[in-house]
Amino acid sequence: MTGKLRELIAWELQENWAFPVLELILAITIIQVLPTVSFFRTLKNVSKPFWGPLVFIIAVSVAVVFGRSFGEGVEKRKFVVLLCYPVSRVTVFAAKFLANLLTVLFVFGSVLFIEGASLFMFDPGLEATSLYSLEFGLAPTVWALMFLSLFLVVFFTSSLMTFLALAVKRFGLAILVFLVYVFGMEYWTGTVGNKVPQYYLSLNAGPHSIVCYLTAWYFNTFVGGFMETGVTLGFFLTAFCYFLVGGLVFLLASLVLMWRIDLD
Amino acid sequence: MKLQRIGVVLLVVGVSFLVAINLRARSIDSRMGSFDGVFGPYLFEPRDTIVVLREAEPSENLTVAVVNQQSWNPTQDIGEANPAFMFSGLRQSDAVVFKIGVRGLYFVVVTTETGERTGRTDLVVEQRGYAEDLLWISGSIAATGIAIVVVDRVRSLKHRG
Repeated sequence: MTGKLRELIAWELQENWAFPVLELILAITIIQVLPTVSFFRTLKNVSKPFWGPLVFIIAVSVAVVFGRSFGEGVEKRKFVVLLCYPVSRVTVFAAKFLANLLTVLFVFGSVLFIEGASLFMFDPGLEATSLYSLEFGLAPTVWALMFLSLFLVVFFTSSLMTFLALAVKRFGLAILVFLVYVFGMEYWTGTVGNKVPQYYLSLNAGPHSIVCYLTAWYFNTFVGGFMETGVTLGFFLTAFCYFLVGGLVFLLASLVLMWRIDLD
Repeated sequence: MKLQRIGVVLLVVGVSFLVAINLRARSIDSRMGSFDGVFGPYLFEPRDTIVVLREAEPSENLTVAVVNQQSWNPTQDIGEANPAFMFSGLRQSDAVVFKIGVRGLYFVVVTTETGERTGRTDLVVEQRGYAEDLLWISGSIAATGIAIVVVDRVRSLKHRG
C-alpha cells in the first residue's frame, strides 16, 4: 500500500470515528441486538435473530457512513480540495471505500463476535436434539459462515450506496433512494414466500440462507451425515450472486463514475 | 481528549447495555414435550426460572432436576450427575421456581420416585427478570467510563489552574 493511500485512509477513518458517529452506532447496535438472544436454540434461531434486527442498522449505518463520505464529498466540494494534492481519483476512491468498508465491518464484526460469544456458539450443544450437532459441534462453522455472509451484505450495501451517492451527487437524496430501495426490496421479498428465488434477495433471508446452505454442505461433505435445510442450490446461488456479483458491479460502476464525474 | 473519548464510549456502551437488559427482562418461555423426561439443553441466564409440569406419566411423586451440561453429558444418568437444583415430591401441574447462579447450558430432567425417567412429559420453561451477570457487567462498564471522564476532567482543570 502506498504512503498516499495509507494517509488518505487514516484521514477518512479519523472522520468516521469522530464524535458522535461511533457512539450512536454502538448504542443502536447493542440496544437492537442484545434483547433478541433466547435460551431456546436451534441452528435456525442462532443465525436468524442476528439478521432480523441488524438489517435496519446495517442499512442506516452504511447509508450514513458512505453517504457522508461520497455524497457530501461531491456536494461540499471536499473532493476538489483532496484532488488538489498529487493523488489520483482512483486513489481517493480506493482510500475512501476501503476506510468506510473497514469501519462498518469492524463495528458489525464486533457485534457478531460478542453475540456469538454470548450465545456460547463454540459449545457443541447447538441443536442438541440432533445427534450430529452434539457429536461434531457445528457451532464454529456456523459462526465463521455468519462472518462471511456479514461481509457479503456489507460489501453489497456499501457498493450500492457509493454508486448512488456518486450518481445523484447529493447526501440526502442518495440516502433516501438507498433506503427506499433496500426497504422496498425487504417488503417485496416478504410478500413472495420462501419457495421462489426472489425471496432470497432480501438482506434478511439472503445471508441466513447462505449460512444454512453452506452449513449443510459442510456437514454432508466433510462430516458424512445428512442435513436438509430447505435452501436449495438455486436459492443459495441467487443470494450469493446477488450480494457478491451485485456488489462488484456497483463497485466498478462507482469507479467509472468517480473517474468521469464533473466536480466543478 | 483521547482519554475522555474512551470514557464517553465506555459510558455509552454501559448505558446501552442497561437499556438492552431492561428490554430483555421480559418473560421468555418455551413449551416442550418429551417421551423420556429429558429437556434441553437450554441457555439459562442468572434470573428467575420457572418450570411447570403440565403433564407427566406417572403423575405423582416426581422429581425435577436441573443439571449443567458438563455434568449431564458424560453419563446422561441423573444418579451420577451433579444437579444444580433438585425438587422432589412434585405432582402434575406443579411449578418450581429457582434462580440459576451461573449462565450456561442446562438440562431439565424429570424422574419418578424410583429414580427412573418419566414417560411422556410435557412442561413449560420460563425465564423472567433482569440477567444479573449482564447487569453487573453493564454497571461496571458505565462506572469505568464515568471514572475515566471525571479523572480526565480533574486533570485538565488542574493543568489550567
